[in-house]
Amino acid sequence: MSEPPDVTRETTDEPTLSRRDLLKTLALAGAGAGLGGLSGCIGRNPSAEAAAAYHEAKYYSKLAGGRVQCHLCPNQCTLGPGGRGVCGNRVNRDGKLYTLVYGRAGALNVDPVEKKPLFHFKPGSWALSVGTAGCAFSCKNCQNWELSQRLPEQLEQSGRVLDMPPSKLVAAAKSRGIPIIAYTYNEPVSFYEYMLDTAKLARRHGIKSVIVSNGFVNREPMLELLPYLDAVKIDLKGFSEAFYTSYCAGRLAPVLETIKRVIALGKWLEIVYLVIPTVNDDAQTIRAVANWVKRAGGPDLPLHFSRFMPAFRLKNLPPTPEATLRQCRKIALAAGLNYVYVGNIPGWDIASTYCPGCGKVVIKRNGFEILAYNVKANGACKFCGRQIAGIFS
Amino acid sequence: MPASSVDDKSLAYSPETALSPRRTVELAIFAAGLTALLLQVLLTRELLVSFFGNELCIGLILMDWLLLVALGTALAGRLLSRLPATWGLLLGSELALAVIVPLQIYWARGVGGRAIFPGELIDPLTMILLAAVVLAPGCLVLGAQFAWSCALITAGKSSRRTASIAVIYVLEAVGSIIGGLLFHFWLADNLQTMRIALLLAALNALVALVVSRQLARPRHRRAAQVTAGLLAVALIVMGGGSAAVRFEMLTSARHWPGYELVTSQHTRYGNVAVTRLHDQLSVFHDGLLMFTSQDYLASEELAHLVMLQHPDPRSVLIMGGGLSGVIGEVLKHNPQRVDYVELDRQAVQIIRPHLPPRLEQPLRDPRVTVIYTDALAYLHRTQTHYDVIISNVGDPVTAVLNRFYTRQAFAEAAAHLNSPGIFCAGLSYPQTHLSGPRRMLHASVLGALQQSFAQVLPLPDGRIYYLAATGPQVLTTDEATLAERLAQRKIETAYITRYFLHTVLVPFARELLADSLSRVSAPVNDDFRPITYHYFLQLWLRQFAPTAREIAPRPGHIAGAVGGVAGLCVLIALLAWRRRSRRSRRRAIALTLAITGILEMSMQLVVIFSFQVIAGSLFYQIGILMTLFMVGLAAGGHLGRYATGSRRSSAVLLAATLVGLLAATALMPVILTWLATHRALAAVVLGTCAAVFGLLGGLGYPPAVEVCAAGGDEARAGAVLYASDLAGAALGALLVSTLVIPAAGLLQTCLLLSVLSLGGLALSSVAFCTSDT
Repeated sequence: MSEPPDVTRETTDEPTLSRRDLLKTLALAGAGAGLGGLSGCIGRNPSAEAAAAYHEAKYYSKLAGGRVQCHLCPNQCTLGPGGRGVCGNRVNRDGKLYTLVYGRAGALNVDPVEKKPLFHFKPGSWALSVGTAGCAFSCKNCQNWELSQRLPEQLEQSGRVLDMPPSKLVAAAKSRGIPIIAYTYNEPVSFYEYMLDTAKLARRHGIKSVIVSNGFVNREPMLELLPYLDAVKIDLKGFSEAFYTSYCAGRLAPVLETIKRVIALGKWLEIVYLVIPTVNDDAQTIRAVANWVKRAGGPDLPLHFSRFMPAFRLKNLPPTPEATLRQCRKIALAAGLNYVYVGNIPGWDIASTYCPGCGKVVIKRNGFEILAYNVKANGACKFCGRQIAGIFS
Repeated sequence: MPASSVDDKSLAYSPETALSPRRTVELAIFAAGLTALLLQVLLTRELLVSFFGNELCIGLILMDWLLLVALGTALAGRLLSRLPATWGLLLGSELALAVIVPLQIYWARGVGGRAIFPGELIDPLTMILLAAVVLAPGCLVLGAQFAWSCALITAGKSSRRTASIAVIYVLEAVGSIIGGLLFHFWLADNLQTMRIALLLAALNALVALVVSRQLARPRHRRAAQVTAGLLAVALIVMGGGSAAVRFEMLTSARHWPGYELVTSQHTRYGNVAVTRLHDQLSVFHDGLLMFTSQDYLASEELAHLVMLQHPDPRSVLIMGGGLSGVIGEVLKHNPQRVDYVELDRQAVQIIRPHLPPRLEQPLRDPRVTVIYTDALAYLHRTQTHYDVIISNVGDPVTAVLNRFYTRQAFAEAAAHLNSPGIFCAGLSYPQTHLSGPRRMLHASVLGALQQSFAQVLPLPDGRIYYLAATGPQVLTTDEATLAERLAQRKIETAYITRYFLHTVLVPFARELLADSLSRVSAPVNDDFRPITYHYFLQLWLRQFAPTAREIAPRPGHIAGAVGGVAGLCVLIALLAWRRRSRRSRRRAIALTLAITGILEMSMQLVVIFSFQVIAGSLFYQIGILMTLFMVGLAAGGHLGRYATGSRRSSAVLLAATLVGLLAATALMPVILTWLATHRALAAVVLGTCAAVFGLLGGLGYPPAVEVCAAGGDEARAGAVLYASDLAGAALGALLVSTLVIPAAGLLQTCLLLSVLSLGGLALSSVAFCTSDT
C-alpha cells in the first residue's frame, strides 16, 4: 500500500505572465515554429499511483489475465489491469481491487439529522457527515457532482481532502459531542470499506451510524454492513426502469430489493422520493410509489417527497411547485401511509409528524428546526399514548 | 468553364428591365448582407435560449455561422467552373431564403427540448452539431450568393474585375450595416422575432421578383415573377398581420415543453420568458432560469444575512435581481431608502404584471426607487453613499457579469459605503466541497474583495455569501447579536430564524472553508483579466465530462501557441518564396486573409469587451460600436479597390494592411490603460478604434483578390478569399472570447494578436513573389 498523499499539498497558483515571460515564451515557441505551446494546455492529472490512498477492497473476485470483478454493487464491474469501476474510486492494481478513498474525506460537515432527511431517528440531533469521491450512478441533477462524479485523485489534486481514517473520524465526533456519524454526500456504498470500519468503531464508542444511500448495493455487502448501522435513508429516484436508465444510468429493481432487505432486517428506514416536475410527478406514478412503500414496509414507513432544485446538468428545469408536492403528500396519505413529509418548501404543516392515533402534531417542524416536541422518551404520543414509529431515545 | 464565360446573352441589359444587370446584382448582394446580419442575430438569440447559453455558446454559434457561410462561398466558388453562376441560380437562392428564414426560427425554437432530458444542459459538441443543422440552410445559400454575385458582376468584363468584386464586398458590408442599424435602433424594440423573420423573408421574395426580370426566356420570367410575387404578398400579409403574433407564441412554447408559456419577449438584452406550472411562475433570461415565484430561501438568505450585520441600515443599494423577492426582504428591516438598479427596463415591464403580490408590491413602496442603467455605471457616476450594498447579479457566468466581481468593481462599491457600511455578494457553492476551478474562482473573488475591504466574512450555505466591511470589526459571527437584531426588528420570514442563524454560523463549516481558500493562491479577478469568468467556463465545461483530464490553459500556454502559429506562418512564407508557384502564393494569401479575419474579429471583441468594462453594458452604445466596425469594413473595402491597379500596388497595400494591424494591436494596450483613467472618453476613443479595425480588415480584401486572381478567375479567388476571411473570423471569435481574453487578459491579448499579425505580415510578403512557375 502506498503512502497517503500529503494533505497539505496544494494546487499550484496561476502565475500572471510578465511581458518578459511573454516575449520569452513567444520567442521559444516561434523558434520551434510549431504548436508545442498547445500541448501544455492539457493539464496533467496525477495518476492514481501518485495521489490516492490504497486500501484493499472487499467483495471482489480474481479473474484470469489479471482482471478482477467487483461484487459490491449490481454493476458487477469487471476491471482489467489498471482499470476503474463505474464508481471511479475502485481500481485494479496488480490483480487486486483497491479502494482509493479509504480515510480520505472530500467533504466533512456538521448537519442536523433532519437534513439527511431522517425525521424519526433521534430528532434534533446533529450528525458529523462525511463523503468522499465517487458514485455508481450519474444523476443528472446531483447536488454533489463535484464529489460524486470526480475521481479521487482529482479531488486530491485540486481540493482540500482531509485525512480522516475511521479512528480520527470517530474521535472527531466524540470530542465534539456529536452523537451520529452520517455517511452521505456522494454514494456511501462507493466508500464501503471506510464506512464499514468507521461504523464498527463508532458503535464501540456509542456513536450511531446512518447511511444516506441510493440503495444500489448487492445483498452480501449490505448484510455485512446493516448490523453496524442504526438508520438508513434510501433515495427512490423514480419508479420505472426507463427513468432510472435515462436519469441516473442505474436500475430500479436492485434498489427495491435493498429496501425490502433493510425492512426485513428491522433497521430504521426512511424513503425519499425526489419529485421532478413534468418528469416523474404524475399522480399515477406517485400513487404507485405510495402503494408499493405501504406494501413493502407498512403504513409506518416514512416517505419524504423532496422538492427538486436545479443543479448540475438540470439547471434549467424550475424547482417543483408547492402545489405538486402537496398533491403528492395527499396521494400518499390517501394510500394509507401515516408519515408523509414534504421537503425543501416552507410550512410546518407538511414537515411535522402527526400522531396516527389522535391526529395531533407530535413533532412540529419548520424545515429542520423542531418547534414543538410531544413524543415521550419511549416513543409514545404525549396526547394519546400511541406509539410513534422511529427511534426517539 | 470559367466564371467569365457565363452566358453573356442572359446578362445583357434589356430596356424592358427596370434595373440593369449590374444594379440587380448589387441589389441582391445588399439584400444578402442585410438578411445575413438580421438572420444571424435572430437565430443566435433563439439558439441561445434553446441551449441555455453563455458566451461560449454565442462563440460556438457564431463559429458555426461563419464557417457555414464560408463553406457555402467556398463550395459555390469552387464549382463555378462546373456550375456557372446564372440569374436562375440567384433567383432560386432568393426564393429559397424567402422560405427558409421563418422555418429556421421554428427549428431553432425546438432544437434543444427535442434532443435532451427536460432542462438538461447541452454539451458543446452536441451544441455545435445542433446549431449547424439549424443554421446550415440559410448560411450555405447566403455564402453561395456571394460567389455567384462575384461571378455575375464580373461576367463579360475585361478590366477592373477586382474592383467589381470589391463592390460586392462593400455592398454586402453596407447591407450588414443597415441591418445592424435597423435592428439596434428600431426592430429590437418594436417587432417580435417571427414578425421580423416573415418580413425579412418577404424582402427576399421581393428581391427575387426583381432578379426574375433578368431571365432571358419570357415563359420562365413570367413563372418566376408570379411565384415570387405571390410569395412576397403571402409573407407580407402574415408578417404584417396578427398571424405573426400567433406564430410567435406557438413556436416560442417549443422552448418549454410541459409548461404554460405566459409570455416570451426579446428585450435589448436578451429573451425574457415567464412560464407557469400549477401555482408557480418561473422567469428565464436567454433560456437560463433566473428565479421562481416560490424561491423563498434565496432571497431571504441574501437580504437578511447582510442586513442583520448592520446595526441600523437606513440606505440600501441593490444591484440587479430585485424582482425575485430580495427588495421585500430588505424592506422588513425598515430602511429609509432602497435604490434598486436594473439594467433591463423592458424585462421589468414584461415580468412585473405576472408577479404575485409578495414580489410585486415591494416595487410600489415609496421608499423604493428603481434606476434603469448598468449598476457599475451608476456607481461610477452617483455621489450617494449607502449603509448596505447588495450585489445580486448572479454568478459571473459571462464576461459581462464578471465585471461585478473584479477588484475595480469592489473598490467602487467600497467607495460608496458609509461608515459602517457593508457590501454583500453571493457565489454558488455545492455546500460540501470546494475543488478545481470552483475553488480557484472563489479564491480569486475573495482576493479581489480583500484588496478593497478591511474585513471580509465568507458565510457558506446554499451559496457562499461574501460579507465585506470597509472598517475592521464591523462584521460579527455572534449568533446572539444577530438573533437579537432579528427579534428587535420583528422580522417574520419562512426560513430565517435563530435556528437558521445557528446552522449558518456554526464554526466548523466556516473554518473548513477558510482553510480551503487560504491554502490556494489564485490571481485576483480584474476588469482587464477576467479570470473568474475563465474559471466559470472551466467549471461549466467540466459538468459534461467530470472525470476528463483538466483543460487548464495558462497565459504561457496561449502565448506559446500564438508564437507557434506565427512561426508556422513564417515557415509557410519561406516555403512559398522558395517554390515561387502560383498555387503556393494563393495559399499563402488565403492564409493571410484568415489571419486578418482572426485579427479583425478579435479586436472587435476586445473593443466591445473594453467598453463594457469601462463604460458599462449599454445596448445602444454597443450597437454603435458594432456599426462603426462595419462602416470601417465597408470603407476599407471601398478604399482598397482604388489601389488595385497592379499586382505590385496590391501587394504593397496588403502588406501595409498587416503593418497597420500590427501597429494598432500593439498600440491598443496603451490606449486601454489610458482609458482606465479617462473613462469619459471611452465611447469616442473605442468607437474610433472599432472603425479603424474595421477599416484595416476591409482594406486587405481587394488587394488579396488582385494578387490571387489570374486568367480571369477573380470571382473564384474572391469567393475563396472571402471564405478564408470568414473562417479566420470564426476561429478568432471562439478562441478570443472564451479562452484568450479570460486567461491572458485584455492587454496581453492585444500583444498576442500583434505577434499573430507579424506572422500574417510574413505571409503577405508572398504577394511580392512574381516569378510564377
